[in-house]
Amino acid sequence: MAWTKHEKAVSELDSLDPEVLVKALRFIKNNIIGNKTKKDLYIGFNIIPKLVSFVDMTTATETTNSAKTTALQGDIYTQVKIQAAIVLGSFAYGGEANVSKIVKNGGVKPLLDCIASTNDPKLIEAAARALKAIYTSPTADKNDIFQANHLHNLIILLNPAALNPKSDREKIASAHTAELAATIIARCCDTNDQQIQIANAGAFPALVRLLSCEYAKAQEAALDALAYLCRENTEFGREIVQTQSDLSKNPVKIMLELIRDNSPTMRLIAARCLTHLSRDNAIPEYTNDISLVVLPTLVKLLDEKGPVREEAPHVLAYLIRDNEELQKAACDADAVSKLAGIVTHVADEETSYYNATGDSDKLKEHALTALAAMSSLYDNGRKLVVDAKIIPHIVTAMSHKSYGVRSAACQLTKSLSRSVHILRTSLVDAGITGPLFKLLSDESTDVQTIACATFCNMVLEFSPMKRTILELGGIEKLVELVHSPDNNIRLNAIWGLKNLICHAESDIKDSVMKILTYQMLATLIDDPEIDVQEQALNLLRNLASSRETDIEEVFKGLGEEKLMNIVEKKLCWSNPQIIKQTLYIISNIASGNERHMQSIMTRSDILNNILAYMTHDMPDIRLVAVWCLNNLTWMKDKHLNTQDRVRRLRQLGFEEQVKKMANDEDLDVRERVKSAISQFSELS
Amino acid sequence: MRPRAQTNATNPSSSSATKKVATREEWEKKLNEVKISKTDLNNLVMNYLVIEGYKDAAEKFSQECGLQPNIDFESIQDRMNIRNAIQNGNVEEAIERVNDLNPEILDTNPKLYFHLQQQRLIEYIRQGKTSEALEFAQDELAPRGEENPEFLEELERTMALLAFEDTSQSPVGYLLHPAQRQRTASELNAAILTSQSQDKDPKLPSLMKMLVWAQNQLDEKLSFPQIRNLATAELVEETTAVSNASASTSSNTSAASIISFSP
Repeated sequence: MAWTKHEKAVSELDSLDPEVLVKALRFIKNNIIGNKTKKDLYIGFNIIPKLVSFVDMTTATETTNSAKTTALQGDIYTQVKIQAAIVLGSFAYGGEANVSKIVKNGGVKPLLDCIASTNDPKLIEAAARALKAIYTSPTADKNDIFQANHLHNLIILLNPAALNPKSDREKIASAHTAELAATIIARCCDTNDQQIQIANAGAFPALVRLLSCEYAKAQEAALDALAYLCRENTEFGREIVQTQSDLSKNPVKIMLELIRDNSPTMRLIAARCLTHLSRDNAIPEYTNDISLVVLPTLVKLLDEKGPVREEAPHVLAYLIRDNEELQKAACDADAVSKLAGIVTHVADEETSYYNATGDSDKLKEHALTALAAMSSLYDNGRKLVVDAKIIPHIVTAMSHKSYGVRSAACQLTKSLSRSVHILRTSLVDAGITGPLFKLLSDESTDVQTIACATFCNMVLEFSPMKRTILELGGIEKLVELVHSPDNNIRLNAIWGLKNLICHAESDIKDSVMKILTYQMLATLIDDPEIDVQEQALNLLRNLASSRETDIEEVFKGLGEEKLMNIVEKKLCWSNPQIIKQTLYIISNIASGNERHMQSIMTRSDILNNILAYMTHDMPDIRLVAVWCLNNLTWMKDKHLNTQDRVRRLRQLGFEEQVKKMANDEDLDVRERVKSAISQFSELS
Repeated sequence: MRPRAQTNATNPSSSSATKKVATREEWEKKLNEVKISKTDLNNLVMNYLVIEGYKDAAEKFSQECGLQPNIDFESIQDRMNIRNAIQNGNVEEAIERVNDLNPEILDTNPKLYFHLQQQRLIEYIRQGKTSEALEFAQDELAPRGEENPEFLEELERTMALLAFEDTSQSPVGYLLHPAQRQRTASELNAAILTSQSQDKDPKLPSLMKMLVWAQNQLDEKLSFPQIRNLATAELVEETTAVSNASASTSSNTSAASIISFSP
């Protein structure tokens, strides 16, 4: 019976009297705000289409055609629109399922039409609020906002003075509208193309001006938008730094003031914006501020609560990734123990009660990711992580329900496994191999990819896990993944196999090739992904190394003709990594027996290419080319064949070329050149 | 506050036996030497009245001392109406008003929303509307409790009000005190201020807390006349270390009573 008042309100939405409509909409609004149960109840009554049509209707203030409509009626219809937009917005706050229902019912376009600055400021605010809630959902389609002149309208709203506020009440409202507009922009620049469109519409000057307004919430939103507009976009990072409005200071200076604000949220958002600019390499003159202000701020934010604590490690990880100096600075600031505390603490919470919000999952994921970043290059960081005694928690995290946590745990293991010492001791002791192996079959390709990358470090010859992995069926699993349609998985799987047979016994090479097959190897060498090709060639190089019998196996496996065709073809590529791996294959073949060497000597295209690569720009390539020559001129005995080879190579101009290289800028190249020259001189 | 014993262990010279003494005369002389600007004090009071949304008092105070607040009285009016609604027990009106002001506030603050619904339940119980209270708790509050275990606990505590015929005997009887309405009103007021990018904490209470802290710090080195009751600001000479410990607690409660000061 208690529901009849709700059913009554729903039936009143069919009324033709706008007063009744407003009353019903207000009733619904006050019931659903903050109340998920009531939102679901009303959505169940299927009122979204009606709300959309209310927002979509044309009112007297917008059209001059209906001359008979009085201004008063226009006002009341605007009220209907405003209340309907508020109700839609409140539904959108109820989660993704609600958002997708609004989108499906065509709610986005009419809301976008409401944000034109000529409309009633209250309508603009209500529509902008609903749009913000919609666009905050990760699944919402962002196309509509880039149509018509919506972006233009949105950017006008970034100026709080655009709506001509007079009283303080109106000023607060228009600053709030500017805040909403900036937040919408921040949520709509996921792709480079979107960033470009928003920038072209003139967002930078408007956002930089908003940075120095007197409303903290609007400043936060402006920082947020700027951060996402320059994310992974160096050009825009530089453009933002150079944007200066007449009144304001240098934007970076403003950000450095805001990062010292009292509010932790403001500090976090300012730190994120400066982090993105720093990653763009747009503020090289502020390197000191990054390590002395931004980084310590982020570390201190780890002591905060809620969303700030959840996001801080995420930003920190991004800031220090690929930068050993900053990784060291973060360790010096005691970030490892704070993050380890989070990882341990969150683990305790999980066993005590179920947290429906999922926030603790994100927190744990971000803390593990930050630890992974801190120990990716900085070796002492790895020691600190081990000393913090969280490896058992990493192992547990590998079977966490959230794929983000599983992936982050893998990432951290990968960073740690870069230390041979830790690999041999702490990681083995924690029994990480089994749980990690399971992740190769994870339902998430992200997790599979990173698990596979982690495995690459564990199958190397010195790894004590290598045996266990083979016993678990590691070869079969990696070969299975080599057939994956996912480029990254294929790459990491072939990488793992390559590492597995690096300096390996012949029996391991045999068992890999029995399962992988030479046919598949040939397919991978012609993979559409150049990185996969490189690893496949590297695998071939590792197969044909160390022992004459191993080279013989490859000759048998691929067939001499096919092998040499591959080598000849790949040597003509322009990609230096492909050339390098191919030259290594030749060099390894040349270390074999007479027959192996002859297979090279009979291919003049190959010989000419080796000669040509001796003058390549890259010392790496010159080095392998000279290695090939060394192996081909190496005299185990004064055998007639060797003399023939040396003579032929001399004819082709190898001796002349190698003599020109005596003063090569690279030390390793010079060493090899020296020995090649002496081998030639022995047979003059 | 650090335990006294520990201080003694690390720094024996500061033990109460050897503590220096400042007489009332000396102390008052020192206090008089400190110049405090009248405008600063007025600003402090105005800051409190504006932030807490006491529009009438702020207006009168402004006339009396010729001080202009940095925001017009009209915008305080909105918050005052909302505060008054709660203090008069009309939570529904407060919710409608805050939704008119900014519908985002209650959609993004589940805790605040729960406290408002809890206050509605308390008002039903206060009016003796037991069946309405039960129905409201079941329809509106129980689902929130399912979403968050913390809320469930608070809900159970509130429902305990119904268990006692004479609520003054109930261990949760404090929920029916005016201070409970005050707390809910202040929480809502602070959320509105935050949404408007305005300071949500008046400076006066933190200044009072700082005073209590400073007195305790100084007390480790010096025996001097202290302010124990912040409402009267009367200087009281200390006699023993034990009474001093209780003085610091009573000062804390005084600070709290200042926060809920109602003109």
